[in-house]
Amino acid sequence: MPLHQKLRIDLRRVDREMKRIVKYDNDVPPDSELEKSLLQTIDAGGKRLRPMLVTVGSRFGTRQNDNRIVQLAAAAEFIHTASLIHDDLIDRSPLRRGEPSLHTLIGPAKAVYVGNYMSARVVELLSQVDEEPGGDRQSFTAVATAELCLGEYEQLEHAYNYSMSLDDYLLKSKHKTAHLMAVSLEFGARAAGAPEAICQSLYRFGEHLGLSFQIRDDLLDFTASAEQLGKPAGSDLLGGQVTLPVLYALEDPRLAVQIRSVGPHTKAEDIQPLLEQIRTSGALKRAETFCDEELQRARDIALLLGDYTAHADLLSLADYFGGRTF
Amino acid sequence: MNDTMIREALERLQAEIDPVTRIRLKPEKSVLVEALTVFERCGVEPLRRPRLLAIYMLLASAFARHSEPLELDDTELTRRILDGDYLYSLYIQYALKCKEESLLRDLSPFVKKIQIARALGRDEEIPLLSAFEQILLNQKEAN
Repeated sequence: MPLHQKLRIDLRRVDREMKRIVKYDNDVPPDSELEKSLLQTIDAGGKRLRPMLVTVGSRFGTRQNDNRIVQLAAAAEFIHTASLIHDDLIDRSPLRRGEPSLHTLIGPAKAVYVGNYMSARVVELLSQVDEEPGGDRQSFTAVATAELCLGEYEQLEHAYNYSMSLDDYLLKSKHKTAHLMAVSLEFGARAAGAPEAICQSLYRFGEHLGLSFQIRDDLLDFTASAEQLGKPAGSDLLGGQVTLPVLYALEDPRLAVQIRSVGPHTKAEDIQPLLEQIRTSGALKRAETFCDEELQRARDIALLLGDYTAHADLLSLADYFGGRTF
Repeated sequence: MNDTMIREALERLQAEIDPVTRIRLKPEKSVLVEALTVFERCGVEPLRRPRLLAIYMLLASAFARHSEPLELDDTELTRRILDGDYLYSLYIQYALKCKEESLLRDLSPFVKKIQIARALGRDEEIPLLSAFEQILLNQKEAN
């Protein structure tokens, strides 16, 4: 059963809200290239994990306002989508989910501004929402996007840095991936008036979940097909991303020599034998174990929230993240 | 007086910027002096002016980093995208930290319209200081 069904979340409603946010913006000219790009980006879909996390988080509160939660869920996906548009430019990636990326279609400058529009529109919407009694003073755009950028800076800083420490890797992954997931859960809970301690527990749950998500992504670079990934296997290694499996593989002196020879000018075909050696080295198994431990930490937090019916939804999320194959 | 406020605003900002970004803000002094003149004309209390100046600098710098041309073969493109994104998010974060929610709220439609104009290929000059002036005058009238 798909995750959203298991969580009883109508994702079509989130998609409708995302489109409504665009179409009800009187400042966006109808049928303009901007409107078409936005709607096309929304239609391209995605896992919609962050809207699901906002919704699950809201189930820990008592103030149930469906419309507001759906709006927050759509806002979380807007922030994520804006970051993906900019990521594709940073990575010079011509494809997104197997289709031409936005900058390939409309050019880099306009793609940057489409992403910027999505972020700015969210701030505009949340500023209005925050005017309501009981609104959250801290818009989650503030706490989420700076961390996302820091994750990108750290990734840039550590490209082809084979002396990177595990702590640096974990910090980068928390900033780049785990933080927005954690914040999505937390803000869903805050919007629904959940107690502070619960909001903090949900943040911690989301951080462990997000870290496991990133490690799983790292593993997929070695285990998934190009079709599943939408890019060739080994792209992370080739692009200088020192992921968890690579960190473990570097502990093997024989592999370390080969890994350290991978640089900005290495060709995809040159790393195929190395990819195979990493696959059979035990590094993937160790990364898998780390990933499972993170998920177990998330499950432990979920079990501590057993007084809430919604704790079962957290366990469903952990199960889904554990079984993700692409 | 202006020099002190400018120094204070720059010091505050540089302390907020994470070192990993390697961003060093170097705004033109004349632009900052002009902004301070506008703030004074709008009746902004002296203690508030360095805060506003810092917020103004962050937003202006974010816009500047994302200004055209933005080309794939530009070796600086990655940094420019990241810097613009980071400075914009820091602008929000810092405005909230300074309890300037109302300024943030009033500026949000303006910021959005700038992005729309740019996305539509109308990369005209950004009247950021005029937007600040209008909002600050409205705030003064409301008080």
